[in-house]
Amino acid sequence: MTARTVLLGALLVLGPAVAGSEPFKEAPELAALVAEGKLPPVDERLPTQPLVVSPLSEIGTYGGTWRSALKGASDTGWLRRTVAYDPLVAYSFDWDDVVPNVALSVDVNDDASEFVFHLREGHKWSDGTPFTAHDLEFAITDAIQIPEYFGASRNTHLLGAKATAVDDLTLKIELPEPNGLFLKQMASVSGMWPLMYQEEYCSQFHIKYNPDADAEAKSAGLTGWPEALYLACDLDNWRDTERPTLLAWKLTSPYDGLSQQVTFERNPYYFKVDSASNQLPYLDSLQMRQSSSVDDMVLQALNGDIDFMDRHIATTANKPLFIDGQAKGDYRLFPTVQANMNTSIIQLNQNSENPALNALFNEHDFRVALSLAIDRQEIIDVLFVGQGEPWQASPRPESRWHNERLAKQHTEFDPDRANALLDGLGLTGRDAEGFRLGPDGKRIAFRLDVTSDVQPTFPDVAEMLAIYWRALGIQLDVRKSERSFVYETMRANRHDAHIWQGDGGLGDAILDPRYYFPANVESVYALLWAKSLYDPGAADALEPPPAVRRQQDLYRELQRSADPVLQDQLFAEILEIAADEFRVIGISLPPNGYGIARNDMGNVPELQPHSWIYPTPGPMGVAQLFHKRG
Amino acid sequence: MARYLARRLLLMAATMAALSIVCFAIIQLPPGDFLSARLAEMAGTGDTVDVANVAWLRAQYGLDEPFIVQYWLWISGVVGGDLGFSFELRMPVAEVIGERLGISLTVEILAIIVLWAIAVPVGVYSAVRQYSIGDMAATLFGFIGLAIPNFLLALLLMYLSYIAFGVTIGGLFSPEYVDARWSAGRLLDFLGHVWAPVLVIATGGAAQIIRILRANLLDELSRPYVDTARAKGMAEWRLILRYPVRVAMNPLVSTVGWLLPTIISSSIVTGIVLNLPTLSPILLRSLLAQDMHLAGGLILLIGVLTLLGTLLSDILLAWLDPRIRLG
Repeated sequence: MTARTVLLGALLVLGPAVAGSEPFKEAPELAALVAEGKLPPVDERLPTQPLVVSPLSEIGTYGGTWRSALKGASDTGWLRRTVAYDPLVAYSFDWDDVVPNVALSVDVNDDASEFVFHLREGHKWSDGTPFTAHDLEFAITDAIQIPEYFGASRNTHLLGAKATAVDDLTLKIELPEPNGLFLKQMASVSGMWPLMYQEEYCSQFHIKYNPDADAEAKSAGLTGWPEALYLACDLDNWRDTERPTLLAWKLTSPYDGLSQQVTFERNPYYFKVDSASNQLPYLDSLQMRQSSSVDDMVLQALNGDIDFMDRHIATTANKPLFIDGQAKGDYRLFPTVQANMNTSIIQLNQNSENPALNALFNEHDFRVALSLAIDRQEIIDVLFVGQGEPWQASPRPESRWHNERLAKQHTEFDPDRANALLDGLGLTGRDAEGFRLGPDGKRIAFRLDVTSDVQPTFPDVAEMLAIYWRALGIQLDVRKSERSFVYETMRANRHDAHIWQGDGGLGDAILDPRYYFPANVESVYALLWAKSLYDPGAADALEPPPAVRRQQDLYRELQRSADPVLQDQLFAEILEIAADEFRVIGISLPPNGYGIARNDMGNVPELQPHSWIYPTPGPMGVAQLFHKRG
Repeated sequence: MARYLARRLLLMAATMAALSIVCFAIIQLPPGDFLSARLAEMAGTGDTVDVANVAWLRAQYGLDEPFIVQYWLWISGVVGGDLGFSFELRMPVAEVIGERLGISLTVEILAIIVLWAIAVPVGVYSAVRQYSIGDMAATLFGFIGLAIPNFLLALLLMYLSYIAFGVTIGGLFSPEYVDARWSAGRLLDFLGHVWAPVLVIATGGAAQIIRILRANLLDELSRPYVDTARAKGMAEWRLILRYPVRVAMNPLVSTVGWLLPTIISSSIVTGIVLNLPTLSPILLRSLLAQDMHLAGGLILLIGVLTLLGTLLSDILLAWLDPRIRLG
């Protein structure tokens, strides 16, 4: 077995040479503490090879606060997008590559089943104690993988993995099965889990290390030690201000759902410096106001009380308001590239338990007819202020997996051909109201439960579809529903159809290929076929048709390869088959998004991909944000 | 009186028992539970959900038990003084309520004081000067207040104060005072914020009180005892305030107890729009998240406050109007 070091970008080569050339500089507040003897000098706080960040536009200055807002009691998403993105390996800014971050380098074996991470010598937690491979081993072995794990989501790519601290600076991860996408997954938003657990602090909540842990948790009103461990140390929780951290800022005022403001202050041990040897972060502190109302947040932004943010407030509807208020609020709008490849994807349940619908939805021509009957330009003009272009479920034009046929086929508005296709399927009978009759002699009608709280436009798109398909002689019954109801129905495979956003348009296409073939729990156009891939033991898993089987086999092959070039080829083949199959119907390419930044904010990212797997703006390295002086 | 009170208290206990079952059942009515609500929310952000782990979690929370068992576990705790544990906030329900109750009470009591301070004099004036310009104006503004939904009024106020003064009035404190201890500065900051919700809640309720008081007072003003008092030379305003107004207040006093539960429930929408750290946004969130114990605890609290309020009204009424006797 020949191990090889994956060349993680060019940064790797820069490491020691550049950083050693100049003495390190630090924030004046920290220098004062050093002078008082309350803090070790900056050279001792930084690793011997700190990560050198080349700023997006300029070298910053120290000081100031980054003000933003959190919605409600469980908006940890914004925390994970900002302060909490510093994984072992990270995505490059353009999402094309994986680069070193906390880890200095990684060795991968040929079949992508064994990964050796090399850490930075002298890297320290915010309490000044050394950060070692043993912390990671503890996190992976004793926290994330345990059956008693208390969160509803965790880093599932690590399940079954064996983590061993070879020495203080070397962590070996052996996967139960080859996974060529492992580094991409470890660079994703989920990759942060192992880095949140300091062994010394978190083991006090663990029954294995503290026999009293369970009794202590229960006396605090919790269900047991797993909940205590989860609350204190998990990535989903930000209520323990004692927990040492590796992040750029340390929590000072907790996010417990009741306190009105969550605050962070600079971690003096943060491991990154800029290209002029200034220790990051530039900003002293973070201040996130908790708000239950988006309107309240919008007003804060308009009033210039938010320094840098896009979450919740940067909607299409609010854009004119924000443009008008720029001068008064002393902020500007910066563009982002939506990672989603579609405003709405319609999934017809091709594993439906209703035999009539099942037969129809499995007809290729039926799906094409429904697609041709949609006037996409009209939807774009009416609902998306003319921005975007007709687009199927296919990676975005910026993506290296862009497939013109998959993206544009059947997007033209051609009701005549659509009717001809349906006639060709023998669906010529009509009832008194002019609806077509299915093979069972009943009207072709199906139901779409639509939820509005993710994209307010879903119900509008659905209503327009109902009109287009009515003209075809097909009845779409649109019901506005609460989100958890929609999800319950889908999980039980009792839905006729589903409408959702087009996840997987950029670098996430290969990680979350839900629309390109039945791949995961979100592929609800063929949930039971998808199960044959992700949960083959399930009683209701179904053997998919040969073409889908072929796609799933190609994906398995892709996962078994550590070679990115081969991965790209295999994925391209999967997309070609997706174009032949045409399983889901897309509407249009989402226009660019935007965010709000105060005019005095420096290093604001322009045209950064916007996604969740790539937790925008995290991969820019938010420690380089700063307030310009004067 | 004592017997009456005892009977009322017994009845209240029975009502509470029934109420607790109904409210727990209603919260359980929507499909799914706290975990499925949570999972759906996570799917919305694109997070991967570990499906295998969910069954274990469900057992930990006791969500896999039948309704009656879940109810029993909850209510036996409540009777013993333990309101249970909030799944979402992960702290005891009593602590959540305790944390927010003070601010909720303050805002609501201020609102009620302002409401009555505006509505009662205006109501009396409109009756005494019926069809005058003042009466018309009061009626007009009262109805506008009644007709504009509270949330819209709150949004308007926020927008106007932003346009006119360049200040955002959301929340009850400025960032620098949020986590500070009480001080003169914090009190001033609080007063600088609290006027908005107080005004919104007060305007919403004013019209009703004005109209009821006006109608009742008009009835009373034409009674012979008023003429008699006037004939005896009693000063006009002293007469009006001393006799007819007192009688006309009866319907208001009999509903004053209903103001108690509004501490939690009345300002839900206002509280959310203005981002107030009160109990009402917590009630809404707990219902959306199907956070059983927290939602149940709050609804039960509203029930208790309603029953207590009604009792209080009845006692007040008996005290105010000697014609009413308790059997």
